[in-house]
Amino acid sequence: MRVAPLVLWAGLALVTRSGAVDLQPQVAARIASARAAVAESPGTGEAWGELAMVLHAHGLEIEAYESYLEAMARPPADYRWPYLAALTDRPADAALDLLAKAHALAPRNGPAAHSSAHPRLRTTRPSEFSDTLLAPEDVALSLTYASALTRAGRLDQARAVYRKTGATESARQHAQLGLGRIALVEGRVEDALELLEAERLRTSKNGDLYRLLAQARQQIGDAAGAAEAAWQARSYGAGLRPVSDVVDQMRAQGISAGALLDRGRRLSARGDDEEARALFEEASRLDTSGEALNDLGRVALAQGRSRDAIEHFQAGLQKAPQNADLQVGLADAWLQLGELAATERALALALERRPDHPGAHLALGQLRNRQERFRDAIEPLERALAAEPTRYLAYADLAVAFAGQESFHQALEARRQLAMLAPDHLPNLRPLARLEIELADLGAAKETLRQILGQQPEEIGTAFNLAMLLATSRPISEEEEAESLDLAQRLYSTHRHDAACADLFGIAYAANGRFGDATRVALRARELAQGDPALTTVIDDHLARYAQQRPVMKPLLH
Amino acid sequence: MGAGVAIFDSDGDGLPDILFAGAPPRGPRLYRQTAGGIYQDATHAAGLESPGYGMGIALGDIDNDGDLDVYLTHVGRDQLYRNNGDGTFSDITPSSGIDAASWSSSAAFCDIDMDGLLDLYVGSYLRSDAHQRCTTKAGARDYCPPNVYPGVADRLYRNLGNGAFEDTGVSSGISKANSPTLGVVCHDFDSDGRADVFVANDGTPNHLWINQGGGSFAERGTEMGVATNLFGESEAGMGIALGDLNDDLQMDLFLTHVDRESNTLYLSGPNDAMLDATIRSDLGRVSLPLTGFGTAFLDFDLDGDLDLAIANGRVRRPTRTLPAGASFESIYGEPNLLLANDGSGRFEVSCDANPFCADRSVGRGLLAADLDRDGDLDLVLANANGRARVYENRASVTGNWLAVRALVPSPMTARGKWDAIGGVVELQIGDRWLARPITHTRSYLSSREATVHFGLGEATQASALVVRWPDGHREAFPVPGINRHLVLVRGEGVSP
Repeated sequence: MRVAPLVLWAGLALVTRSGAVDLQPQVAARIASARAAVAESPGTGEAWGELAMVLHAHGLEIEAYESYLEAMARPPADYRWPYLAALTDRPADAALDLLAKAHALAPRNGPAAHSSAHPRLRTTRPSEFSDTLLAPEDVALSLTYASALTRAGRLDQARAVYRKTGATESARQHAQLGLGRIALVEGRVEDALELLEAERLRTSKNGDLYRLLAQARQQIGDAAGAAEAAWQARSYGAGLRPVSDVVDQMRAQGISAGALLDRGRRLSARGDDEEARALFEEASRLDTSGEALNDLGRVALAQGRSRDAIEHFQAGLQKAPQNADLQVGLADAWLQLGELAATERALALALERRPDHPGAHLALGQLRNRQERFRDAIEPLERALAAEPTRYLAYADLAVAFAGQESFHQALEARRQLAMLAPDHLPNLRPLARLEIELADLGAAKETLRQILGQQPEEIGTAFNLAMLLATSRPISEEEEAESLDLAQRLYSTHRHDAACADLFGIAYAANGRFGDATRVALRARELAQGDPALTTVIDDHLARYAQQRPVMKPLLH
Repeated sequence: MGAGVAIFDSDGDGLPDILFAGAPPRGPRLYRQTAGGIYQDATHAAGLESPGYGMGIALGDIDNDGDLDVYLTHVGRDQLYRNNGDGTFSDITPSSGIDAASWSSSAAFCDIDMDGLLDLYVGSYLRSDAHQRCTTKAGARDYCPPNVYPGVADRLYRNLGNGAFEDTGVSSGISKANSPTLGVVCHDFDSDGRADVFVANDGTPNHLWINQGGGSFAERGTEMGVATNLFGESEAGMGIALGDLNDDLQMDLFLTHVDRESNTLYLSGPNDAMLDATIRSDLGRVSLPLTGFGTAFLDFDLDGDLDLAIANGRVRRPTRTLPAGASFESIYGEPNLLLANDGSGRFEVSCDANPFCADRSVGRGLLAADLDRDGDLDLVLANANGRARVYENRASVTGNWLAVRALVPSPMTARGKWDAIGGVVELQIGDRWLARPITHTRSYLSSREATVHFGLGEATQASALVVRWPDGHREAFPVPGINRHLVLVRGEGVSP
């Protein structure tokens, strides 16, 4: 492909290379426009910096670097130019020097001297900056700088930057990992372990953390601990990299399909689906591969817009009929709509194109669950998990499949795997607790119920079940006696007309040895239970036990 | 992505020959060394003409008859050639039970089940799609990165004897992982007397398959520290060098990667753990602008320390606009690297006026071997879409040396002795112990005779010579002198 005619500006070193090839016309035009701006204001760093960012965003890094140098040579001094120049294709030492320069210029003490810098800085109050509270831009830059120092073997300097940067909460995790790496490089395995184990307690779902932890544990001979951390590292994948608005600003200059997709995916990974969607739509007009439509479909799926997703995937398949990803997307969308026959057809086509597609196997497992063909669901789900451990939510589907064929212990195991990887995932914790109760692992059930209550303190059913389990299990500690009574009292105070809550309160009193109080509230429960003969019978049984000063032993769960 | 190279004595005349993998229409080329160091194309005479699109070459004596058989990996169906012992080869693929028909990369022969027969590990790269188009961010057509294609499970074939193999990918657990494999080496990484397999993957975490016995493997790359670099980044693993850099008698790994990723050195540590030691070795920064493929640990100056040679050549277009009509070599060619070990484990570029570094080609397979049997190691480089090159070692200052071949007598044939693949040769010089792995497959898509080579510096004698056989058993041998080739046979030594 020939390049479109570009503006040449005599006198500048950075004229477009004559005879340059391989630029899409719209990219060439965008570069020409940026060059024209430089021609109009050759003395300002801003114009050169904009040109550099346009070149950089399109992968023309050597030319971008030269333009960043021009920007750096002109006022005003702006940390963005050496920062971004360091990210171009530079030798490591040169990149490190540029990062040092950028770090020195970064606006950690306020934006006054950097009025041309990123718009966010112009609207930030100077008081928001201090030596320990870094601007978001500076956090990403500092972490990049510290990482480059580490890679260059300048460990003391790297340590100092990590320590300072880590005082800012958003950078803490990255900084701690950086310090852990330095400790490992220096052979201070115990120090590394201490740092990493402490971070593990504060953080979950960071594959980088678990990967380092696995190495450190292996080095001290803790093979089992290393294997467990390695499993978690594989399941979580790489941790999130520091986010830099300055880098995003540069990427925003990209207008080719590849550049738009690249940026859209980053935004999508950060959860900014609406902005990502706009970029994917723009990319889809330039892209001939169907990739952009696949991304658009995925965003629509994530937002629950199944019909839109189907349109995108089908349009993508018009462009790329052999693309298995698009077929899997289509299957996922049909499944979301409950159209099982259409899901089956789409999956058959996807697996024909790529028999080992992990997403296709996951969708197939989910489809079989929906069809109640639980036995057939297990193999594809296990295959999907083995191929892509980061899709660990599939353990929930696996648990459904096992439970569906009454393999409750295996279902419990799958739920526990998921709980280990996603301890905050409530949709898993509730069925996990139920399974633990059903399989009489009451100690574990209590812990799971406490986890749920930690996240959802007002969840009545969970509080009821926990109080009931605590009050009816033996042996019971003094702390658990008190915990059950407290929970039961709170439930009764908010549900005074609920016979079951009143009965629970009585059971909790009895568990605490207060049989008189137990009898009193049980009689109240009996009044409330009028019209419910089954519950009345149960309460009568409880009253009889209290009369004999015997606590209730059999839980009646919500 | 190709191609590989192999160096071995194909016709039993005592001189190493060179086999290059190749693509149609030329296909593989076998060059036989004749007196005076002249090489002659003997492909046709040897029966090694192959129609396949060649990637790599694995050597191994599959029938313990004392000569090396040849496995060619292809984009498409691989081929296994039995060495007939008279300078000719027979294609035994159809009767072998080997049916590797995807896109294979590096392969390695090693005795997985310790039955005295070399089994075969075949790395698989990707499921390619000819319709896939990729562009640079500026919209120029370019090679696609590996992550746009699905990976393919590697294969493991158990040698049943008589040239027959059985696919044990599923029963061994190897086929559980779909990954874009490029580099493979066999070695006992956990010192339990069983051969493990390290796999360098292109852009996904590397695998370290630990042999658990009974034909099963467990993947332990993450906990043993070799899955990613220190920063948790999965790198574009290509070539592998295996050697003991830190003199702890355990093997270390060096991996080459794409530009903007450093090459990575993993040093052995306590409890079988390895640690990314790239920073301390100074091997990172020098490699950042280059895309490394073939690589070799070699003591090119015979000072007793392992140095490094690296073949470089881009896989993606440079980050600048290119003139119209730019040639393949001008777009993708890069200088190679020779790095000297200063004795403390730090490396510095040693390229002054060295044609190996000065040649700007698209380097792929690289091997170091003593082609002219003068005691120092020469280099053979296979280039993508370009002429291969042979570099004779003419280092001005060199020390003493010792080359050792360790053989196991075959229980099956009277005359057969096979290289102790998976073993280690240990040599004591003064207070220092050096160790070299016995292996054929190494570097990128490449394989060579299993002779190990020691530079001795100014030392004029070795204090001890011990072979750690593949099953972990150790045996000591006398060193009758230096600057010579020794052949050691199991059972002829003494307990150390």
